[in-house]
Amino acid sequence: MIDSHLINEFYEALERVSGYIYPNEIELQWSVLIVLYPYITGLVAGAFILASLVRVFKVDEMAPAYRLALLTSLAFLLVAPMPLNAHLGHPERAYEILVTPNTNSAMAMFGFVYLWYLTIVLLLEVWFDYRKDIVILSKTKPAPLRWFYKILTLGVDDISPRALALDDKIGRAITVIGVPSAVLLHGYVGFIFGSIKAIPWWSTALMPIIFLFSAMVSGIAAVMVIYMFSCWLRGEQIVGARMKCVDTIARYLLVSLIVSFSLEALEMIQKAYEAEEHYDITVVMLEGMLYLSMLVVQVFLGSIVPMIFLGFVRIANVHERVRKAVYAVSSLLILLGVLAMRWNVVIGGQFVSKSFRGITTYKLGIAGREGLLSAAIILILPVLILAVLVKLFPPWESADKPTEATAGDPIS
Amino acid sequence: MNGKRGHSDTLTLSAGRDFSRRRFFGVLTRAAAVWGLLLNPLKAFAIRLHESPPWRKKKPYWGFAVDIDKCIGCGRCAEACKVENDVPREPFWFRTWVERYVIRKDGEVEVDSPNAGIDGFPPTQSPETVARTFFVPKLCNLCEKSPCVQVCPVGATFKTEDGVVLIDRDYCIGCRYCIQACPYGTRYFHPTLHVADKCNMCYHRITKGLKPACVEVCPTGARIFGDLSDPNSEVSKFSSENRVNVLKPHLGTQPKLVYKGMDKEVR
Amino acid sequence: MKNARHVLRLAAILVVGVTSFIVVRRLLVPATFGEIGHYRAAAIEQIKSKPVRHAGADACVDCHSDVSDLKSTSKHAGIHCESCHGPGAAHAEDPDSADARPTRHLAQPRRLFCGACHSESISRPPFMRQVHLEIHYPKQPCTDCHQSHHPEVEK
Repeated sequence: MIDSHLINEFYEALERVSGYIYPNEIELQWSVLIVLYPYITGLVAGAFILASLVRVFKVDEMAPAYRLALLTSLAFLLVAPMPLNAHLGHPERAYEILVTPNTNSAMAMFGFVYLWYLTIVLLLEVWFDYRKDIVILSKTKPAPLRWFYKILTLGVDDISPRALALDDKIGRAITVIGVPSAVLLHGYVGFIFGSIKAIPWWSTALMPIIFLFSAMVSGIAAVMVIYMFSCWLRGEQIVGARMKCVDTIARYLLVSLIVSFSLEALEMIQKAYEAEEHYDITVVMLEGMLYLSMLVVQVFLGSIVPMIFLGFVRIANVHERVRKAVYAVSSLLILLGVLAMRWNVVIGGQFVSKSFRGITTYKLGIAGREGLLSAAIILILPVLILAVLVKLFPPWESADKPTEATAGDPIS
Repeated sequence: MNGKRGHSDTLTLSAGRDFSRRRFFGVLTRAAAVWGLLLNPLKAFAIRLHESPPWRKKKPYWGFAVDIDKCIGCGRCAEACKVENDVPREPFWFRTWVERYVIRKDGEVEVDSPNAGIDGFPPTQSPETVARTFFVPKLCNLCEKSPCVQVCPVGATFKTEDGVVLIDRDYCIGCRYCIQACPYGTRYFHPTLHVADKCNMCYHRITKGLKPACVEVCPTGARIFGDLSDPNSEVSKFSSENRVNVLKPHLGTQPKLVYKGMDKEVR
Repeated sequence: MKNARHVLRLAAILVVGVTSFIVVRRLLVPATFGEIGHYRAAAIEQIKSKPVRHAGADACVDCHSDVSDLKSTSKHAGIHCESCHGPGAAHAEDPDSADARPTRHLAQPRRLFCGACHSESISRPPFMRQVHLEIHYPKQPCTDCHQSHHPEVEK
C-alpha cells in the first residue's frame, strides 16, 4: 500500500508546479535531511582545520580553543551519517556501501573517506591528545566511570615524559595527515553534487572548493560560538589570552569568509555570463523560491553583513565588549548563512526541472521522518554529544594554561 | 665527478661540457621515455575514439528508436507499461510517458504530459496561433555511458552485457543518487518498494523473444525496438537510414534511444 | 620502544580492526556479485523471471485466426490485438477463465475509447484519420458504422 499521505502531498504539489516538469519530478528526491548532511560534515571539516591551525601551523593564540574545536569536530562527525541513513529507502542495506563499493561513485568513496577520517584521524588525534588526562582520570574518578577510562587507556598508564613526547609527535603527524583528510572529506561532499551533469545548478568544478571554504567558514564560526558560549557557561570572562583567542579566530573567520564568498560569487558570475540553456529558468528560481534563502539569508545576512562587521572591527579600534558582541552575532549569522547555502544548493538544484521548462516545489513538513522536527533533532544532537564529550574529556585544563598565568582564573 | 677536477678552469670547462653532453643524452632518453608514457594514453584515447560500437561485438545488443512523425499521442504505451511492470497507477511514477509540444507562431513553447498521456490530452487552445505541434514519447535512453550506473554507490544498478540498464531491487539501498544523475528524468523512487525504479526495456519480455510492452501496443509503429548487432533488424535499419538524433547529446551519455524528426525544442 | 607500549597496543587494535573488516566484508558480499560485472549476476535471472502480462500478437493468432485474417486486410492491420484489448497473457494461459479475458476495450464508453486515437487533435500527424467527436454522429457508438477489426465503411 502506498502511503496515502504521500499521494495527497503529490497531488497538492502538482498544483504548485509552474511550467513543464518531467512527470517523475513531482517528488523532490533529496529532502531537508540531505541539506543537513553537507552542513554537518562542513562543520566537522571546518572545526578540524581550525584545530590543525594550532597544532600544525602553530597559531598559538588559538590554543585555548584547540581541544574544544577537536571535540566539536568529533561530536558533529558522529552525527554526520545519521541524516544520510535516515533518508535511505533501505537503511538496513547501508553496509553494502562498504562491502561492494562502486569505485566510480563519489558516494561510495565517501563511505571510506568518512571511516578513515573518523577512526584514523579524529579518534586517534583525540586519543593521543587526551591520553595523559585519561590515565589520570582512570585513577581519580569513582568506580563505574573509572572502568570507562581504564578501557580507554588500553591498560597502559605510562605517562612518563618520553611517552608523552611520543604522543605529541604522533599526534602532530596525525594532524598533518588530518588536514588533507579534512579537505578530502568535504571536497568529496562537494564532488557528490558537482559531478552530477544532469543538474546544471550543481555541475561545476568549483563545487568541491566552494564546499570546502564554506565548510571552513561554518566550522570556524561554530567553534567561535561554542567557545564563547562555554566561557559564559563556566562564568569565565573573555579577557587576556581568551580575548586574543577569539580575536584570532575572528581573523581566520574573516579571511575564509572572503575567499568563500568570492568563490560563490565567481560561480554565479560564470553561470550568468555563460547563460547556457538552463539559465533563464535558473533566474526564475532565484527571483522566486530562492529569493529569501539565497539572496537575503545566504548572500546578505550570511556573508555581506558579517563581512562588514568583522572587517570593521579589524580596521577600527573598538572596545573588547563590542568586538565580542560582533563576533557572536557575525558567527551566528554565518552559521545561518551556510545552512541556507546548503539548502540553496541541495533543494535549489532540484527545483529546476531537467527539462529546463518548469519548476517544482518543496514543502517542508513538520512531523515525519524527513520533517522539520527530525531535522532539528539531528542538528541538536551533536551539541548534546559535545556536552557529554566535554564532561568526559574536559578540554580546558591543559589548553587554558596560558590563561592561568595571565588572568589567574581558578580552573574548575 | 665535477668536484675532483675542479682545480683547473679548463678541466672544469671540458668536464662540464662532457657532463652537459652526457646529461643532454640522459635528458633525451628520459624525455623519450616520458614522451612514450604520455603518448601511450593519448594513443589509447585515439584508439578508443575509433573503437567500434559494442553492438559490433556483442549479440544481441538492444536499441530503441522513436519515429516522432508517427506518434499520435494515444498513450497506450504508457498504460501498457504500467500494467506490464506493476508501476503504481498514481500519476507520479512513470517508466515511459508521452509529451505534447505546442510551439506557437510567436515562439512560445508549451509542453504537457497529463498522466503521461494515458487519459489523452486536453484540446489545444487557439489553434490558429500554433506553428507546429507533435508528440514525443520518452523512456530510458539506454545510455551507453549511463550516469545512473556511474553514481550508484553499491552496484545495484548496472548495464547488462546486452546493453540494458537494470536495477537490482534486492540490493538497492534507496539513496536516490541515480535518480538525480539521470538527465532524462526517467527514474523514480518506488513508493512501496523504497528502491529506485526505471524502464528496463521489459527485460523479462525481450529475453523471451517478445517486444517491450509499449512497442507491442503502439498502434502506429512509432516505437521500434530491436537488436543493434543485427544490421537487418528493424531498429538497425531505421537508425541507419534516417536522420536521427538523441536527447541532450552534449552530456556525452551516448543514448541508444534515437529519435527521428526531433524538433529543437524537445528536451 | 620502552615508552611505546600504548602505541603498540593501539596498532594491534587497528590491525585487528582492519583484518576483521576484511573478513566480514568477504562474508557479506552476495554470492554472485562480480561474476559478470560490479553487480549481483543473480539479479538478472530474477528480473527475467518476472511474469509476462502482454502475450504478444502471435499468441492471439493461434486461436483467433479469423479475426487476424479479417484485420490483416484493413486499415487496422498493423495494430496488435493487445493495443485495444489490453494484456492477454493470462487469457492465453487459461482461455476458459472468464476473469482472465482481456477487456480493456470495454472499460470506456466506445466513443471515448476510439477517440483515444481518432479524436481530432492538431498535434496528431496528418496521416491519422481523425473526427470531431461532437460533430461526427455524436449520439451513435462508433461500432454502429465501423467494425473494429475492419473499420472501413462499405459504400
